[in-house]
Amino acid sequence: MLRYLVRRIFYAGPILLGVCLATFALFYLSVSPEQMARRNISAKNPTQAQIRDWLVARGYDKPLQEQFTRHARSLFLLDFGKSDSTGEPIAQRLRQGAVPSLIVGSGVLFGSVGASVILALFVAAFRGTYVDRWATVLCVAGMSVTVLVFIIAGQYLFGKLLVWFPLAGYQSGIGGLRFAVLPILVGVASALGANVRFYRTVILDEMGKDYVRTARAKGVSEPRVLFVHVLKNAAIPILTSFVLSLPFVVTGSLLLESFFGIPGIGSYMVDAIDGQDFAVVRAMVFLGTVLYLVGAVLTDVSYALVDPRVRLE
Amino acid sequence: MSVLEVVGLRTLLRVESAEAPVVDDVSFSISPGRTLGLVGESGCGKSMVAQSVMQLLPPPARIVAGEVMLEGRDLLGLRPAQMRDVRGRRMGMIFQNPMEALNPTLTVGYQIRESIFAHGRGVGRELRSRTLQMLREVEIEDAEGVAAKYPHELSGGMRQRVAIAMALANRPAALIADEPTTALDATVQAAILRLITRLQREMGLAVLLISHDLGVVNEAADDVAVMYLGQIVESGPVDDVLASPAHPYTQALFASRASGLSRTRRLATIEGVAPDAGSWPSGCRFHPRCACAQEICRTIAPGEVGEGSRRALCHFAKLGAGNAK
Amino acid sequence: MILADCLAGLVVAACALALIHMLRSPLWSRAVSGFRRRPGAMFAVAVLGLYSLVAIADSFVLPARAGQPPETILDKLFARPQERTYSAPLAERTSEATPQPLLGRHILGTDGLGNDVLYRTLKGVRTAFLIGGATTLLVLPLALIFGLLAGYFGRWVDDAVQYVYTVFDSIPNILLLIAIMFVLGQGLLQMCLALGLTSWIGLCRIVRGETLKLRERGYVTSARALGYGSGRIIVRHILPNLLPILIIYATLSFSRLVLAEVILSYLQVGVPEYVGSWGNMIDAARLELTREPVIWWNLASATVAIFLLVFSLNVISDELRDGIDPSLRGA
Ligand SMILES: Nc1ncnc2c1ncn2[C@@H]1O[C@H](COP(=O)(O)OP(=O)(O)OP(=O)(O)O)[C@@H](O)[C@H]1O
Ligand code: SF4
Ligand SMILES: [Mg+2]
Repeated sequence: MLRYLVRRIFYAGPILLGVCLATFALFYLSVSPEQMARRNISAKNPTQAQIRDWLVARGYDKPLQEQFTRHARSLFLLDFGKSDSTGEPIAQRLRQGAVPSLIVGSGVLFGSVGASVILALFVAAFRGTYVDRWATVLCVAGMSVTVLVFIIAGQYLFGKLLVWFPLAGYQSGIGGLRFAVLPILVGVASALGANVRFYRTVILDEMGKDYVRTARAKGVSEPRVLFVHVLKNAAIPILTSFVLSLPFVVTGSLLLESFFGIPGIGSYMVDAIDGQDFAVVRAMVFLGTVLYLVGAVLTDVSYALVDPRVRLE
Repeated sequence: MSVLEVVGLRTLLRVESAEAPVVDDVSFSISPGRTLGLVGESGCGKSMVAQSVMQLLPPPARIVAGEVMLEGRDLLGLRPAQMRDVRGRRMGMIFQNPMEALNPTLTVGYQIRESIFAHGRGVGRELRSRTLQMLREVEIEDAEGVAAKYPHELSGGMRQRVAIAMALANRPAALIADEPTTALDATVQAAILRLITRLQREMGLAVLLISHDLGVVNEAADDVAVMYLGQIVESGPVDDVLASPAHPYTQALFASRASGLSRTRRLATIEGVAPDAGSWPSGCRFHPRCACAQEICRTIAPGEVGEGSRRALCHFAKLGAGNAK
Repeated sequence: MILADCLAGLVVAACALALIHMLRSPLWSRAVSGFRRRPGAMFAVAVLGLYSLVAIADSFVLPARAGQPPETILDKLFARPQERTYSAPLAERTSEATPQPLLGRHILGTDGLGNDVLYRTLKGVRTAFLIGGATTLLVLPLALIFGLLAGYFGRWVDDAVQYVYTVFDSIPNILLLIAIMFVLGQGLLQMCLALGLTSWIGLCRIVRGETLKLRERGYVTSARALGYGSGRIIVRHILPNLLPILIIYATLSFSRLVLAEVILSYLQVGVPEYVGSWGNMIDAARLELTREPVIWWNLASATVAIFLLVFSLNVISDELRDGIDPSLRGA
């Protein structure tokens, strides 16, 4: 276990370095700092001196090599620096945004896995019948609608027509949960089609295996077969998809947050795009990568917990 | 008095959109403490018979006619919940591939315990001691150690022992063993076979032993039934049938075994999938490959002829004392 | 503009090649002939055919009159003096000067700028096809080359390729997409590039895995033993076996790309405003829901247009997969 963790951390280094290099190349080489400065300085026609000051203030005047080392070092130390446009520290803004993002993100994640697994078990229990066939068609149909439409329709229906939930906005504290319900519902609904379809395949795959027949031959009841035998084995692929979406719990869903006006990390990102704020986008990419790598480790660990055949080595 | 009696069993299998029989008018009966060996080529429907008896057919197959009497009760008339209670309590089953027949994510001990508490028997300590006792009965020495293990930590032979322990945990009246030794290597095969026979004697089990290995049947069975394309073409006491097979298919089957490596007399293997109704020949199903086939065999299906405890399905069955070769 | 035309040509050529290949090989023709018995598949093929017609009609430029921007057949059909503002579905046209009126009415109404909604929706078809098609054209060779190299040669080549795609894969897709679009700027071509760079990894992984498996097959090892060059083995023995997966993946990725365009356009990093696209339509329509009376028709028609296309593509890829290799189900 310890050896495994050490090895994973050891491997994460080169990958993070690669990501640093990729973002560096993307941002520093394809757009000249000059252009960045022009986009960010508020004056209509910045003077040469203004541009120089902007560059010097942000260290864009140094030689490339030095810039890269600085860039990589600060990212590795999780020191994201200051926003290019507003100048406020990025880390502070991230800390503020983490809570709302976490509420919405984890709501969507747990909600969609829970709902999808239950629905998929239900559909799988009706395999080969019309229920199954139409459910599959519905899933494909659900996959074919864009998230935007789910959001717009959800907002319109529940926020405007029925007025069950506030249309958008956020409050900190318990009262704020009210604002999180609709985005979570919409997020769950939009992911439902693809998830149910995937889980159904996984579950049906398991149901065809020999151990299920053995369990039935012992006289185990059908619900027990489904919930104990099949689900325990199906948990493995389900866990993968679950953990792979962990990064989004923290980085938040860009679309949900910006549509529902939730001041999380996702909407910070959207603001940064609008404001052409390179420093923020860069930091977000790095943060997302770190979370992804952590997620990968968690996947392996949870595998080992569920499947006795898997050893962490 | 027989424990398990099957009469006129008929099972259809859906292929594409048509249904075709895979088990066609199969009858047999097994008395307590006796073993019926069911032999035949791959794909002739042996497993389908077993799964029909257990009512564990895969979705494309269904039973359309017949009776399956277990201890005098017709299982085909039971409601699903009643049938579930029969499975594992009065009738156990073991399968060919012990590697896949056990759930990889549950411990061996749990899976045997489940077999008992699925029928609401035993709680707590008692459940545990019954589990360990079962493991010892299948000749596993380190019962506590093995009970805590996962299937992948055991060898093939050990897993099959565990599967037997699961099937017999409730002291059923009948055991259905679908090729229980096929996936194992020779020495383990013999040990498992001996174990099954020993347990059978001790518990007075009626055993349906499916195999395509005549050696296995010869060793472990009292009676034998030979299947060809969904039908039982010959049946009788194992010694008699082996000594003087009455049906040309049985003769060919035995010849192919006797001749060992010589390939000339072996049966040609069946091409394609057997259950397609259209591909089953008219008249006697064996006629295209039968050495004794006559004109009549092409058009008229033979009826069953019997003498004593022996039965055969052939116009020219060589039953009776005079034809021992 | 010229680049986009070249792209369009390439997409058409690739589709034609794929179709010809499919009709010639027995495996595919069996899968395709299975379509006839399935109403769902037939519906999907019909929708795809209809969309293709629209895309083609929007691709042929008619000889322009002096001093006017060039027009495609589609533009001509909807010859457009704009309305001044919204009008509901089936509203009558206000202006007379319609050389070739499709109908005297705006079947699906007009949007806030007075553009005919049906026209705008149909304009989106070509954009969607270009994004889906061109990106797929970019993804296929990228994934194929890297996947084949890694799978076939193994060792350090494999390590290198794996390193590259792990790095790419570690960056959450949407972030990478936004970052790339952010740097490259808006535009159809830029978008294809960004989408291509983010979506080749999945296929590359599949290709690598399959190649690894195929390399151990008897005929490949014997071809190697006979001293055939690697190039020949890859092209003759490995590539043909990868084709089913490639085509299924291409259909699937097409539909994903159409959906991705919508989201990027909403995030203001999609195709520019002047290119008719469904993403832009939805982005523009979203605010209009708050008006009274509710203006829903442009949102609805863009949604339905996307839905029909993506649904058909999904259905077709499902059917192909079932027809070719049921074991791929759920892949
Ligand atoms: N799940 C299934 N779906 C469709 N067809 C099946 C299924 N299971 C079995 N069959 C078909 O039914 C026929 C009888 O199969 P069965 O498994 O009973 O043969 P068998 O005699 O047990 O053969 P083997 O010795 O190989 O186990 C075979 O032709 C097989 O192809
Ligand atoms: S009935 Fe005819 S074909 Fe069939 S087994 Fe007997 S002799 Fe052969
Ligand atoms: Mg079998």
